[in-house]
Amino acid sequence: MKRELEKYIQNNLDELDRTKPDPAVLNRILQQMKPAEKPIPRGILISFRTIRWAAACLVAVACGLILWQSQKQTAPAIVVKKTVAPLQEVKHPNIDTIIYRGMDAAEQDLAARKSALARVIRDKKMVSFAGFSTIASAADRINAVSAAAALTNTRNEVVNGLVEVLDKDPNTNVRLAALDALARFYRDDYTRKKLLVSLKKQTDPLVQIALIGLLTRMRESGILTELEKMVQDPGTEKTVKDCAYSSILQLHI
Amino acid sequence: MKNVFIISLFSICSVCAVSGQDYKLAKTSGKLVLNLSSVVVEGYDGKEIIFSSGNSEAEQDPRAKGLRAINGAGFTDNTGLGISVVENGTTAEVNQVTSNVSVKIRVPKGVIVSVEYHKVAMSSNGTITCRNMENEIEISTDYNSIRLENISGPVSVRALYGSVDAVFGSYVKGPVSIASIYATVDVSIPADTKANVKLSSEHGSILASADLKIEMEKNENSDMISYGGLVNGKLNGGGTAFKLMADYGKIYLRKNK
Repeated sequence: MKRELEKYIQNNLDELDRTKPDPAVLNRILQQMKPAEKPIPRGILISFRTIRWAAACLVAVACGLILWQSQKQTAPAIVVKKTVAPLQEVKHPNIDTIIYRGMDAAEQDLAARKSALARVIRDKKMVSFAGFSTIASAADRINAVSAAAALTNTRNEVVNGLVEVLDKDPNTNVRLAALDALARFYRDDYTRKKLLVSLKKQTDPLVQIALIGLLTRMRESGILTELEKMVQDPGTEKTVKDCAYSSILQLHI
Repeated sequence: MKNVFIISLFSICSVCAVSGQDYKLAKTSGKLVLNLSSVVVEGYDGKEIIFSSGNSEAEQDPRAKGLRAINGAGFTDNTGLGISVVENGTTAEVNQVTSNVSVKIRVPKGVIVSVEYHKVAMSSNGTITCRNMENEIEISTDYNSIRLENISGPVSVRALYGSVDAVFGSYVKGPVSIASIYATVDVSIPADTKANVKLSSEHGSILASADLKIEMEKNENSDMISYGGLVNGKLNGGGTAFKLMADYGKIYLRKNK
């Protein structure tokens, strides 16, 4: 096959295209075939002195930014510290810091102090009832109950504390003192409900009689069901049954 | 005749020797809890609680020599007086081991005395007596009679069937809370006692000495049902909390003689 092709070329060599193009056309073609020359970019000449000044400026700006950022972070850190700081620190704020930080900061500080004080008062109330069961002396517990009765019954804390004493204290006289203290809040519906619930828990005849007496004087007809149960219960002390009968009669009149 | 005399003399000496037997517990503060059916407690200036007994029946039994009393409640006589004394932290607890125990206990001033007994008294006497005491006294019983002589308080007494007789000394230190259901409550106090008095007896009577100037409060503003058996008042302008309660018994409030 190859030989046939070679033979054909040799035989027809003259017929093959051996002519040259027009020199003008050839030149033009050659010109177009040359790679295009890229324009050489013109460089910026900056002096080394300028570069040093620019670097110095950058460093200064960077330092300024860091300083500003750090100041921006420390200001709220003080506020946070004030709000979550120990109570002693809140009680004695740094006056210079407050003046420096302006009126807003002072108001924040005042609000923090108010909330801390409220927390202290609330905690003290809770502690007074929380540590109650650990007081060995019944006389001290009676005094504590009497003192608690003089407090304002905010969010029913006093009533709840007294009812807990009424339900759980091991000494009958302390429970009677708690009942006396609760009688002060007899107009309060919440107290009435709590006393009704407590009646079901009491087992000492003295407390049962005193509680039935108080609820009867309060004209609390809600005890009638419980009184009827007590009357039916063979385990109820006779004197308690007598008291229950008497109260049922009084409340039905 | 001579033998009878010797035996009698020996018996008397034995009784005296046994009577002099004491059990001492070093304690000047804390609480002394007495679960005894009958006891006499006296206050004194000392640093030990001293237990003594006049009951010598067990000691006179020659067969009991070398043995100690135990009972079904798990208590062991560790004093030789028919009682068990066990210290638990700041509290000393005393339990009866044998029946017919009559114990006398002398207690330093700083110790709180708490008597608690809710069974039928095992001894024939069944009286709880506290005398000459400036200690705080807590008593809770069902059947025992309670006698408090020359005491100052604070006192809290809870009795069901037993009567309560209390004579305060030269002053009253509150709070005083004495409550009984069936029996009388008879209390004598100095005329100059300053107290907030609350006396209640739903089915009994309240009797007070004319020498005690009680300013009675009238509950006119209250919308609660009021009854005659409840007296609230101030004695000599008011002061310490002073509450007496006897639902089915009488209340007697007297001036000290």
